[in-house]
Amino acid sequence: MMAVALPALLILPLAALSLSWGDAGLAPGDVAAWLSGDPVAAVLVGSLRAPRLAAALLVGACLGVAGAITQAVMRNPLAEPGLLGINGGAGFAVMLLIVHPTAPTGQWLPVAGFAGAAVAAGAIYALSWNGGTSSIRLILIGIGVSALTGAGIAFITAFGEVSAVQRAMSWMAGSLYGSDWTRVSVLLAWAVPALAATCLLSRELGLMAFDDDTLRGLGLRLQLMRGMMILLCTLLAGAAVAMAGPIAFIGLIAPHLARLSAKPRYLIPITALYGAMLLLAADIMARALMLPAGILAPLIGAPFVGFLLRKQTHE
Amino acid sequence: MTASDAAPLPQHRRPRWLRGFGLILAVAVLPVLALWALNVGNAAISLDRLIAAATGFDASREHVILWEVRLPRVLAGLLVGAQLAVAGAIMQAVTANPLASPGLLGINAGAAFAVVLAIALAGIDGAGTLMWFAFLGAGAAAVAVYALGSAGQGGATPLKLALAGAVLTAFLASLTTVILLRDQTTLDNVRLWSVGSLSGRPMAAVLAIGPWGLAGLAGAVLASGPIMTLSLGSDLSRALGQSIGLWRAISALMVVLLAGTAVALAGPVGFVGLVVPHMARLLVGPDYRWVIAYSAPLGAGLVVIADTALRWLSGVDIPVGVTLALVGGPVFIALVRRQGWNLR
Amino acid sequence: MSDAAGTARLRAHAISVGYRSRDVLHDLTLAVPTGQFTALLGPNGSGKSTLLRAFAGLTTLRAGEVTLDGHALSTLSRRRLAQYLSLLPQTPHAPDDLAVGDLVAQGRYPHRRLFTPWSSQDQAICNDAMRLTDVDDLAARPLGRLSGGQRQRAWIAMTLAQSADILLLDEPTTYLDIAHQLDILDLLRRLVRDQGKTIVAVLHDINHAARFADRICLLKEGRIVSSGAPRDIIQPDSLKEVFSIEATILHDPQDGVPVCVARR
Repeated sequence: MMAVALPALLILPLAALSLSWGDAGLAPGDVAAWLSGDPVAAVLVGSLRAPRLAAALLVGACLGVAGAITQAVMRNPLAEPGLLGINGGAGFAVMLLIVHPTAPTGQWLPVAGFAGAAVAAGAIYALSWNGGTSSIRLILIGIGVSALTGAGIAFITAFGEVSAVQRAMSWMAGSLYGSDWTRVSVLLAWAVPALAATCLLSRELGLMAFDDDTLRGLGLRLQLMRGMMILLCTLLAGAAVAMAGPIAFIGLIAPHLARLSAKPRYLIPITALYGAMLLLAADIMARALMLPAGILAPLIGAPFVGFLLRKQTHE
Repeated sequence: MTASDAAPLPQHRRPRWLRGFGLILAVAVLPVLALWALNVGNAAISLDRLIAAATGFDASREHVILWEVRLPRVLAGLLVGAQLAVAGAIMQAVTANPLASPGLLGINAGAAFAVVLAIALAGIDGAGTLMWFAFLGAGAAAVAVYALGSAGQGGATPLKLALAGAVLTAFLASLTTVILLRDQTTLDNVRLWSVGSLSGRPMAAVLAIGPWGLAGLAGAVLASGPIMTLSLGSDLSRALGQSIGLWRAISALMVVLLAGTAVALAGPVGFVGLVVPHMARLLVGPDYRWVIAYSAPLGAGLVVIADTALRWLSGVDIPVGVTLALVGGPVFIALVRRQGWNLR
Repeated sequence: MSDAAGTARLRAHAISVGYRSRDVLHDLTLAVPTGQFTALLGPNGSGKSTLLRAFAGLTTLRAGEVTLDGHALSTLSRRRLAQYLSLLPQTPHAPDDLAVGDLVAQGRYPHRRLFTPWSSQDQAICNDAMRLTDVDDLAARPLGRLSGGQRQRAWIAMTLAQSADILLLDEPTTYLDIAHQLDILDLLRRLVRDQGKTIVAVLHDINHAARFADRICLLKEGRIVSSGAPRDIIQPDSLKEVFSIEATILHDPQDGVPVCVARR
């Protein structure tokens, strides 16, 4: 119970803060007025702050769960969705779009981001297939493909028009600025089934740390399961990237935080809670400092890592 | 969850002499590569003119080009490649994690942050001066990671170090991005450096950094035995009488020396430290003494080829940080796929 | 080979297994007698583990097929297979912070569907498995804090919790001291006698095989050299052929079980 209580208790006040605090401060009563149809509160809370809050919670949950999947499939505590090429692919695609003089931008950036992420993840899966995949091969091919997309990004950074590069960098920093209900509802329709499916696979995700022979001996269809997990991870992390740009670190740290207290059975939902909590906190700070949330996620995460390191007693 | 179990190492049945012969071959190819790289450039210089320019101090145009442009670039390439690759091999051995690279000690992020600060706040320019900021930043970040990773029980265990490094790297990268998002001039000044490039490094810089790098390489080769022992895991290495804390600290120090000076010289070149040790392991198997020995010539050769090939083919000068991944990425993927059956 | 036909549910029909150019098993035929304890013996690299993995449906066969109740393994789903066959690999691996009880509970995996809740019957089966292997006191302890012997018994408990009729065990007595080795072998014996399980185990100790197994299969270079009751198999000639050792065979004065004394 502790495991659920901690992140949930942290989320509630943060959510209240996120709704009521801003250029025009609102008392909790005014937030409630939004629900009863007050027009001013409706604009401020209903169409600006509430969708941003929803986006932060959803994207954070997606990132955390995608991280938990990556760490399980790759059998590596340092793995994060970026290793599946998600961030590199999305970043490269978006950068191409931004520095291209005639290409449309605006609402196409999320589409390009998701497409780039999906293509990179698909390429990694396909290239590591050799009568089946394995954790180590996925990791190594992931490194190789990420190096290629990284080279593309580096090339554009070095030679693109400097103001376009800066715009691309601000997208790549990751931000929830400008979230609206349309995009949130698309994300909701997309991410919730994937999150639910991942929860149903909790048992199998926990088993991934066992060796291959034992797993198959237990009746697990290993290749099918790995493929499905990578697909889910791509859907979740890809959707998060499309919504908010690549936000690093939450996918790495949320599963570790959840593991401190959660029973293996509940690891996925609790990871989602921690991810949501971390990104919400980062976004509140981002609004205060007028910076992208992606930049602040590591700042928020650092104290938790300190705590994690203290708890880490065995190797 | 132990990281070491994530990386089953391939089995090799190749004869012993082949490894030694291969190493000699890899080292012997380097001078040839260097000669080729010296011969490539905007100004066409024939080989006999090149030799004349190298031997005679005639202050001719060829002489200046050779000694002030091409030679420092080739030397820097060889050094940077060997240093980063060996540093990466040490990191992967000590952490027993295939995802470890010198960057994990915060070296690249620290160097980048220091350089960006120097440009943005103090308006410092010129590769020669920035170099020292980069080295200081790299060293300070590594010390901070080590201090953070040693906190709590059990000292600096690999997983704790890695997590601490990941945190500090993300943290510093964030701060760097904050500055660059607000300061377009600095972004314009720093972006070529931040990709990793070998062009325009003065000979004086190479000569100032070179000895440190060579000392680091020599140290790594000498210490490759204990590092191999360390890679077997803490229980086994302790049982073999190794002082784990001491050797972890020595390894970290060597990584800082090797990768810190490399970053100072060429900027944060990411690919070599991560991938070349894997290439070496795919070629010679899990014995880190051989992996370290092979990493040096492989890394040096790869960087020089990546830096020269595109200029040779098309005359376009692309930063080595980009071409490295373009050249090395597909090679690496092919290697992994070829050796795939070993990586169960 | 004089296998009692009709009493063998698990059979290998002329199977060949190989990696690249090297054949590990050649044209091997073997029927595993149901309700008996079969020990696979042979020198290192003779293909014992590969044969065991082939019986578990874990290797790609170059030729031939392995059948369970007349169905080729390749036609059965992994889950179904796991309900009949459980495998203990030579070096199984699980996270160090996993508690013994949780490890054993994973053995119920093939019996549970997506929405099947954990039942009291599942728990009872796990408890039985832990009691049989004498790890019931350790249920809450993480694997990383067990001795080698305790860990091995925890894994065997997981294999038992799978409640499969056929157990395939790859060197189940490694890491164990002599008393625990005998405990485990005695447990396997009892499983066969009391619960009618069928067991195939790769063993290294000829004398253990002679004492506890109903049948012994001697393998060399991917072929079966001989198979049958211990008394017929543990002979100086066959041991010399398979292991290249000079051995004298004595008989235990108490029960007449053959004892191999290797001299070179």
